[in-house]
Amino acid sequence: MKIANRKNRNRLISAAIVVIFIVLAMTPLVPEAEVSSCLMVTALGIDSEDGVIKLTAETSDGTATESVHGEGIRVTDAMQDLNERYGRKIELKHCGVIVMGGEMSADDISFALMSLLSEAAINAGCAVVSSSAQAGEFIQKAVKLTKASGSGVTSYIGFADTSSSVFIPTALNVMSELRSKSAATALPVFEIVESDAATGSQNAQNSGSDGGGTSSGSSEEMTELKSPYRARVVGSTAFELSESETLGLMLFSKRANGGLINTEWEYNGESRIIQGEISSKSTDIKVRYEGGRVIAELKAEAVIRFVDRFIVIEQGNGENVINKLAATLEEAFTRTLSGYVRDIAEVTRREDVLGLRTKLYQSSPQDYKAIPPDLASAGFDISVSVKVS
Amino acid sequence: MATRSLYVRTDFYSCGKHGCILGTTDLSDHIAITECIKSLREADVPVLDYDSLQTCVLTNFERTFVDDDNEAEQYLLSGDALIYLDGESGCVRIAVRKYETRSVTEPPTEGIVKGPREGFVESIKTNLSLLERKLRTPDLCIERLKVGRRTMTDVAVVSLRGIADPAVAEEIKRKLSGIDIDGVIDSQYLQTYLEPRPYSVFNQSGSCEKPDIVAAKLLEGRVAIFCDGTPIVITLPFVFFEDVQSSEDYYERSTYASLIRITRIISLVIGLLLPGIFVALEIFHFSVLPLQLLLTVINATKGVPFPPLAEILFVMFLFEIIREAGVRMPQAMGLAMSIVGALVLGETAVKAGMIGSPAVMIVALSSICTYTVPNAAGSSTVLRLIFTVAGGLLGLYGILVGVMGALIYVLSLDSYGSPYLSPFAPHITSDGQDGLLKSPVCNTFRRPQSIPNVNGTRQGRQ
Amino acid sequence: MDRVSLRQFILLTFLLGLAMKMFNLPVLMLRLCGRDAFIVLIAELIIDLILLVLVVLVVVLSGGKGFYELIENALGKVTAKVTAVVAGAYCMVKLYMMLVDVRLFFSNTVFPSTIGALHLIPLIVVLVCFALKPLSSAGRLSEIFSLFVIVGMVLLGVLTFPHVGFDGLRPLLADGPDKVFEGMSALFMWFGDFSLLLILTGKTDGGKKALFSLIAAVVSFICLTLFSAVLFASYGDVPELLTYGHSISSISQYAVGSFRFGRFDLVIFSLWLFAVFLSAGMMTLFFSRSMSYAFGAKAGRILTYALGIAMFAAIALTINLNLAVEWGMVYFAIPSAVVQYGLPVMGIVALIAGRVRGSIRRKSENSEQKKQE
Repeated sequence: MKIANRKNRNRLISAAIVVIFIVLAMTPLVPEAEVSSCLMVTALGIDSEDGVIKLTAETSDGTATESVHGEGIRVTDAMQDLNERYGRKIELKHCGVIVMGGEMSADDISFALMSLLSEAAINAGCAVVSSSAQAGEFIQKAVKLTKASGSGVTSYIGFADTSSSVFIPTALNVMSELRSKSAATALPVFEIVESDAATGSQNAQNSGSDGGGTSSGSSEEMTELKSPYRARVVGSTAFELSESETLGLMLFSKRANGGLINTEWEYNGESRIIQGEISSKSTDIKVRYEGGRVIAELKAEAVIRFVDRFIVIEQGNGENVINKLAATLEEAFTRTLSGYVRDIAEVTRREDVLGLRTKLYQSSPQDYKAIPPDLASAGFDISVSVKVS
Repeated sequence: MATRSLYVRTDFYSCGKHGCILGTTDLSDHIAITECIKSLREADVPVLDYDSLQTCVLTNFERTFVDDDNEAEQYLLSGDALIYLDGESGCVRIAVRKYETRSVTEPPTEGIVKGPREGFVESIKTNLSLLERKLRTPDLCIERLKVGRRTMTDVAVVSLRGIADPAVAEEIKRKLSGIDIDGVIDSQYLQTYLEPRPYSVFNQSGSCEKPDIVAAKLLEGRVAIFCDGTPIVITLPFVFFEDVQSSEDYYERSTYASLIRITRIISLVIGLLLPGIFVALEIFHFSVLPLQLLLTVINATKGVPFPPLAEILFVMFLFEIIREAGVRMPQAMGLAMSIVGALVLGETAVKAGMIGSPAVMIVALSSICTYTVPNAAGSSTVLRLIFTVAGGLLGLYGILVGVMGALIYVLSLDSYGSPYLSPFAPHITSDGQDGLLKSPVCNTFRRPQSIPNVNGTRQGRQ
Repeated sequence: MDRVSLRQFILLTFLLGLAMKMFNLPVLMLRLCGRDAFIVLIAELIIDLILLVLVVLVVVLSGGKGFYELIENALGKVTAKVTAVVAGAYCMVKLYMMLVDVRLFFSNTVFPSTIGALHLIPLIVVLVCFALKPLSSAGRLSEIFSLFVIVGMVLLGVLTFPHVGFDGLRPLLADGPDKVFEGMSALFMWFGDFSLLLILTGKTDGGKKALFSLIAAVVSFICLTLFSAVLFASYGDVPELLTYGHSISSISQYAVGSFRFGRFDLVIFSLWLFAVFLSAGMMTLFFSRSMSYAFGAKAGRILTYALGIAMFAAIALTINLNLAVEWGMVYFAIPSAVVQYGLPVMGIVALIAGRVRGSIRRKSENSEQKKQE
């Protein structure tokens, strides 16, 4: 009887397993598209023109890299257009960088990123950069640079992020900054430059810059991605920062580690340009209300390792000489860095790229609500100190 | 009706009495029987009865008096000879069995680099002698039974008095005594009676072919069951980690042994889960894979007509065919079929686009990994299939649910009082000295607590 | 064996402290309360810690009796059976909400095109099997699962903490304490998991050492707080980006999923899922044991099978999962708080009543003895 019961129970369990397997196997549990029918997007360019969103994507299928295009009123419509045009599902989960066109406003960027992030279509850690002109053109030229399969744009931008002082914000950073009280963010500007190898002349992609240069019949035309030395501020207005303003912004950015600083150094009556590299830095921004006015204390400390050692060494190597040299170098770098900080402080009066409003709100939200901060009349207390190693 | 042919000798007359000797044609040693007859003829005793036969005449033979006809029949069918004297009741049995058995060689299933290479054979007598040579202690208890109505297979339950829990040995003997089957050919027959869940895919009893391993397990408090006709000895209780251990771990340095054990565990996990994870990632979660790897996989699987799950199952099926054929085929054909299997099924099928090379690589790696723990290869193969199907149908979630289900099942398994996954769950700290990390023998003071025993101390004072 | 060891009890506490609270809850809290979700979380965790103290006291002082036996001895059989039925009903509804959470997560991330709740079938089968096994299985499972969860947490911490600006947590209480009270009153359902440990009353080794489980709970709460802080700080200004069901996934993907790696967050999340499954298993086990006490062992077994079928049917028939969650927050929050905090209080009352009755009985026996003498 016991054996019969056990046999019946085993039969029942076996039957249940078979039924469950059949139910699961016969139902459409497989995802909508197989991986081989997807188009992997590795970089995405977004432009906004006359209310139409234009997407240009760098895609890779393992053997070649190409660019694809789509348009629509919203980003999701443009994505749908891409799917329909190419007959394959566009897969964004490996997208490493989003390039915003030079004409995109804060609202455009915010809506685009909101669509892409809220559907978890792209990774929140995806890099967001700006191109100097149209993002679509940027992507198309970048695709031509890629020699092998995989992503040229993201590899380059990834390298730039780790190799230099450039800060590359993530999509989440950009969205958070745009939605914060500061309502402003800064995106590094990448541009593609076509250069003539023999003459060294350059035709910048940016139509705003001068396009001089002679043609050379025997030389080779090269196209290269240039490291970003400028940033583009996007807030209630949008504009590009100058190099010194960008360097000031990077000084206060927690994501940027170092950077090369050029300074004019006078010693023994001679004036030279010395290059130094910021090996470590520490910055602090404190904001408070004082007499109905916003006062921001901008403090920066940096340790600079100067690059052009031979210029300095040739001045002498006695201890007194070295101490005097160090003092003058520190003074020169301090002057230069202070200039950068002053420049970015002035920019902050127009667009709050340093996040002063956010810090004010975080430290005293009640005061913030009572007194709307007017940064146009803000006072800046700047303190910069440099040590030379 | 054909019956067993008996060897009958009635051609002796001793001390005024006739008698006969019965033996079997195939199992009894005829020369020994002839020697016995010679002894009988030359006997010089006042009265020839069974007492004088045993004490004065047959002193060169192992002999016992047998009163019971059934017992006499059993001895006769086992190959012993029976001496009947005219006018006396009962008979005397003399041990003149002569079987052809294999010589003691290294077992094919448990190869090692360092350590003893003796292996059990099909004769229980030889096997017990190999064991008794390792354990020269009067505490070695060997209790013999005959199991199987028609085969009357000799079975011996061996334990160490003062170490093994007597309740375990009693329980095993009770179960063996309760077997009512016509024949027992192999120890696997007995396993199904001794294991709590015979339908389970998991081993619930240990098996080994080497006397050193059995001796070591007896010293830990286990009970061994020998079965005549098979070199495989069963040991109980059983914990899963026994399959991961190898005898070589005890003959190598402990650091190396620890490293190898960790490697085996990792290999086992890879072997079980790799195909399932691969299929799950390929179908549901390809965003997890880095781009370069994903593109490589896409290129490798372009043009394959099967969906990923079907492809992997097909490759797994092919591997099982090759493995099974490799075991069964005659040696003369082995080389040719290996080439066919490797080239045709492997390389050519991939080149033809029938299957993708990642699938072949994954299944090959998984199969090799499962064989780092050969005793668990059977259960690993079934589990691997289940996890692959779960991954293919439900992705990583399916694998997680499958793992959880398997763990729940396994964690509720107890083998004669030993939790199946000890010393990991439940965690037994003292058993860790011979767990994933192996301590040197000089630091192994306690017997494993996961195995019921009555004396937990191996070294030092109790 | 129907017992758990001390170590297993501590690890169960650790896992129950985490499980469902890191699944979808932080996203829900952020959307409901904004940054003040951090205060809500800490307040709820403190309440849970007090709950755990009560539970551990019941477990330690039970004198070997089970939870319902304690109540039966002190307050009568009827009270004990009614308590068992109420606890069973609570477990049923809470399990339903847990499975809704699970289904929401998988529907959003892995199986967007699944018809119905078919992918829950294997999970429900496993949970029912778990509920019918002895308690030793639960204890042993916690020993294995805790390893995976700890590895997942360490990975998550290493990959996320260096990248997070915790300044984003501020300002707290910018709009006063209203959001905090609103959050606390709506989110009770996701807390109180420690009341499940009452099923281990009288079946735990270790005696007073069970108090060490408080340390395990504190550790799990610290981890929970830190990871929730990462989410709140990172998404404080943009909670609308979070789809319900993206908690850990959202934390890890933005830090880990750069263009150099794939979506590693799913792998980390897989490790976390073990804790979730164990929590759901304990809930089913609690239901099974409660029903077995109330109606007998055989009926309890049948009701457990019925629970599995009912759960699947309920979730398959739930058309709008988000509405189900809202329903839970509105109608089930307070009743669940009453039950999950009331059960250990009842245990303490039963202990006290039992001791009082015992001392009264002893006094009357002593006085009778003296009279006889």
